[in-house]
Amino acid sequence: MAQLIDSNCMVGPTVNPVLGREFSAEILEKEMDLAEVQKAVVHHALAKEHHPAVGNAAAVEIARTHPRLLPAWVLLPHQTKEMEAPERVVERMVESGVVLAKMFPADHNFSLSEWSCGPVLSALEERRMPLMIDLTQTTCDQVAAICTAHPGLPVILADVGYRTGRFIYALLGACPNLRIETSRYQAHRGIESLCREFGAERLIFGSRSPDLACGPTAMAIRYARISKAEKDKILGGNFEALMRGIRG
Amino acid sequence: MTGRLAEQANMGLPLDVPIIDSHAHLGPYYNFHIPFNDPEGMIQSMDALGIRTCCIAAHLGIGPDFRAGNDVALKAATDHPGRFIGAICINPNYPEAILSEIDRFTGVDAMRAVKLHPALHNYPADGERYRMVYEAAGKRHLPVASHTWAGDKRCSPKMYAAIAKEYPETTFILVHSGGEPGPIIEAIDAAKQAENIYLETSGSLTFRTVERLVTAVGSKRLLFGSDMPFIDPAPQVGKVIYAPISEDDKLDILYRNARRVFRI
Repeated sequence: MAQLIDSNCMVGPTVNPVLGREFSAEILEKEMDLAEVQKAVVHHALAKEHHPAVGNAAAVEIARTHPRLLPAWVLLPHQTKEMEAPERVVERMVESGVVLAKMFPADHNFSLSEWSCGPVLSALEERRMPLMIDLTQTTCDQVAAICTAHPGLPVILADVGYRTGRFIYALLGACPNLRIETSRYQAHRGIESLCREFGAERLIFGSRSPDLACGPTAMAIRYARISKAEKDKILGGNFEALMRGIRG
Repeated sequence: MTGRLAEQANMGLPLDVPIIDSHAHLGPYYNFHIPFNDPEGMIQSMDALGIRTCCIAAHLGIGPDFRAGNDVALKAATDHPGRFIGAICINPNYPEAILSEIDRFTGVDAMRAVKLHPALHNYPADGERYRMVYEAAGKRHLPVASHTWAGDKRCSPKMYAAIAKEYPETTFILVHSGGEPGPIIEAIDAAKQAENIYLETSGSLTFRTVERLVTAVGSKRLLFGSDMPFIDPAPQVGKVIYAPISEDDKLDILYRNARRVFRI
């Protein structure tokens, strides 16, 4: 049986803690145990709510002390020099065992367009480092533009609400390098329907912890009317394949 | 510690409790694509999870034609006895038909509740036309399930404490319990003030509120709801069974309370 990998978690202190206290690595691990999830990809809350330079280092440190957690880095466009040159940043990601890049263009006030993020997207594409973006941080048009301009970049679209079907069916059809993170895609039998239309390979399990949680979001896949092999792919196999594809 | 229900869920097995879903719908919807929105498609979802019965309000009923929508719900409940019970949708923008529509289902056992949607119908929960509904429903022992959303002046949960106290014979179900995790305190406050208020669990955002609701008002005042087929029921069931509450509390929420409220 393939190991379960939760591709979308955040740990650390936040301005408005969902639990009324910090969502720590230890709390996440307990929730993973409850849902029988073996590994989780985490970015640090400080990378999102303070600054990536601080939070990314914290994510690597948490992963070092919690072997079940895999670090994700939050990236910015390079022009302000808040981050190193794109090729160097991605090189350091690979050296640090980072398995996923994330961008929050709405919260962090930048454009994903080529004139802004083209160089960093190209650097990620060169290494086949997966990039996860929340749909609520951008637009489907922008996602389509990224996927088209960077066909070798594995793009994972997250925060995809249950009402988005008329957008994302078209988007998945138009963009072969696009995948959907499943936590917020809670459409009725939505996993089954996307699986039938586009194949299980296009879906990646994530819990969006701590806003959502491992157990309930995994149920959307565990109870989908699809084969066990398809469930295994969505729950972990697909992300494992993406990790294997990262060029060292 | 993993509970019995969570263990079953980790294996994707039907849960061995007769779950009653107090908030569901039926049919297509204008705003977005809903796969498998017919009774058969929903029953397949119900069987996978162990949901025995759903209380349904047809999308057509909360939408443009409440009378035709009520016929859709009645047909599903009649065609699939025991699997569906209907909620009578009332649109207050057709005031002349409010009481006649409730009366149309007098003695119709398949229709066990009244469904109101102040947001879609753009009419305040404390308006006169809804007051007619609260009184009529109370007399007929039909619980009133109303969409609620924190911050919405038409149906904020805090509006319902005064309403429920004014109609003590009527059972009120605050659908979504206000819908968002932070302001759920409004629904809690309302339930604390009026014993004839039940709080319902459905929503795509409220994944960590069940424990808070149980702590604040007790499991006897909570009803599981899925909002199917707007939303897939599996994660909604998961919100209850993975919550850090006792297995006994989970059973209250998943079906015991609903048996009482819907006379099942």
